[in-house]
Amino acid sequence: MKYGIRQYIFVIRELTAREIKRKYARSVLGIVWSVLNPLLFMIVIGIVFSGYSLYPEKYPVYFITGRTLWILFSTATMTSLTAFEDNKSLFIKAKVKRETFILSRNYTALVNLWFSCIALLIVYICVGVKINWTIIIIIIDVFLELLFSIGISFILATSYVFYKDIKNIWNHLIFIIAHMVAVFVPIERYPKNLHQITQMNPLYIYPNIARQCVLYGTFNKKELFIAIIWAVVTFILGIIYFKIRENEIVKKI
Amino acid sequence: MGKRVNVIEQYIFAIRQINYKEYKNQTNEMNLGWLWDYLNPLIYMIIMSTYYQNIIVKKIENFPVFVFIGITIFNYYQSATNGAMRSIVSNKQLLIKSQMPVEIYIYQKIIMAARTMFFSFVMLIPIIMFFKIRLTWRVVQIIPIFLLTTIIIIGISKILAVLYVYFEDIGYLYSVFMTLMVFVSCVFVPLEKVPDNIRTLFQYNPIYISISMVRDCLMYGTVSHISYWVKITSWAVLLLLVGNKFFKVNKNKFVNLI
Repeated sequence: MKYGIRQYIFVIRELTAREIKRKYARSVLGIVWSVLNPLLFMIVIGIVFSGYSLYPEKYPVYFITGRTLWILFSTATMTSLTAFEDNKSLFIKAKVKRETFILSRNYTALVNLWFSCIALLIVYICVGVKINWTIIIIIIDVFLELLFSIGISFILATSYVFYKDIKNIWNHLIFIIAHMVAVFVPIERYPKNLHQITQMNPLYIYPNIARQCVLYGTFNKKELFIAIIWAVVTFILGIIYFKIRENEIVKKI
Repeated sequence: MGKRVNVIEQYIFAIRQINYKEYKNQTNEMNLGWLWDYLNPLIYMIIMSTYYQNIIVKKIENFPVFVFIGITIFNYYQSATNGAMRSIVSNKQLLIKSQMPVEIYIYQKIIMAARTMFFSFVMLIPIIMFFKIRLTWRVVQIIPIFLLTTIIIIGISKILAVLYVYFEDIGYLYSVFMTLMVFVSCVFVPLEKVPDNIRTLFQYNPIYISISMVRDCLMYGTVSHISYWVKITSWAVLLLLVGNKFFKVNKNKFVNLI
């Protein structure tokens, strides 16, 4: 049993390494982009949007923290979408567990987040954010979000095998959702009737928990509770959906 | 003369073939592929205009239309330049085998993007009727605006396509740059809300100029201010010259590189 899990992790890591190498194959700066990207975004979006925030001086930290967590979800789901199709040959021939492909894509997104954390640290130090014990909450938060992403990824990747439209739809949805979860503009700026819906939205909650921890060193127990429920429920649903249709996928591919 | 026409006809044929192939690739796996061309801008319009209505202090009439035009024009810029940037590298095989001029691949991508934009503008007709915007004869302005915009895009595309052959990092850089441009082009935030010190920067941005000129002629039925016309024309001329020059100088080099 123990051997099985080890092998499993090994495969995930190999797949992830391949993924990252492929992504930056012809690029000179390579993985440095994962650090540079958030910084570049923060600077320009900060100039344009800090005027809308109620606390302009906190806006850079607000934005970069929220965005980093948002990107974890968006890249994880977007890349997982085609996970089964891309690995067609491995999928049929190799004796690896089929979940591995999804997990490796999600893990890749996590590795990317890890690199972005360098950018985060730079910003925190420059702005002078006091880092206290709530940093643990962020780690839990990232873990929950990852669980949530994995659940969604399973659903998406399974559906993608049958309906190719999903890819196009999801690309556009991601772009739209980014504007619906207060990544750019703080929630106070949204129309009143949208507050309630946004506050229940898991994709608003995960970045928000992290922001609260960093900016104020506090967290909301109720919010954390909702976050856990979303993560667990989505994860289980994703796995169940995948298991039900696993045989169909194999046939179709 | 006759021979020349013949050659051009051949090029058009080639472009249409590549277009067709690409479009098929894009949509053949989808059941509702074609519908997306129409639906996308509509969905964007609805979401953006509901979520961002609060940050606008001064009320804008027909805000959804305002957003719609912004998104459509911006998408044209983005998809055309992005596609054209990668066109040379991705058509490597064809480029080596066939004898067509290299520019063809760039133009093909731009035509593809223009086509998508055309679909979006078809969608705009019912929206305009819904909001009861009265169109005047000044709508005709859209033709020169569109032409100038396309010339600007051709210029940018040529420069980018050459750079992309040398270093692919430009792809990342450009995608970051374009995402930022969304916010610097007043796609869904009016100019009045932008901080004073960077407002001038906006006004020299070709994407912003195109967007606001289209808004002028479609939404308000006015002729854009003369300075806008001057700016957009000078951008077009400048970029066309620089783009062509840059492309010619480097042409042999990068063909060899590939």
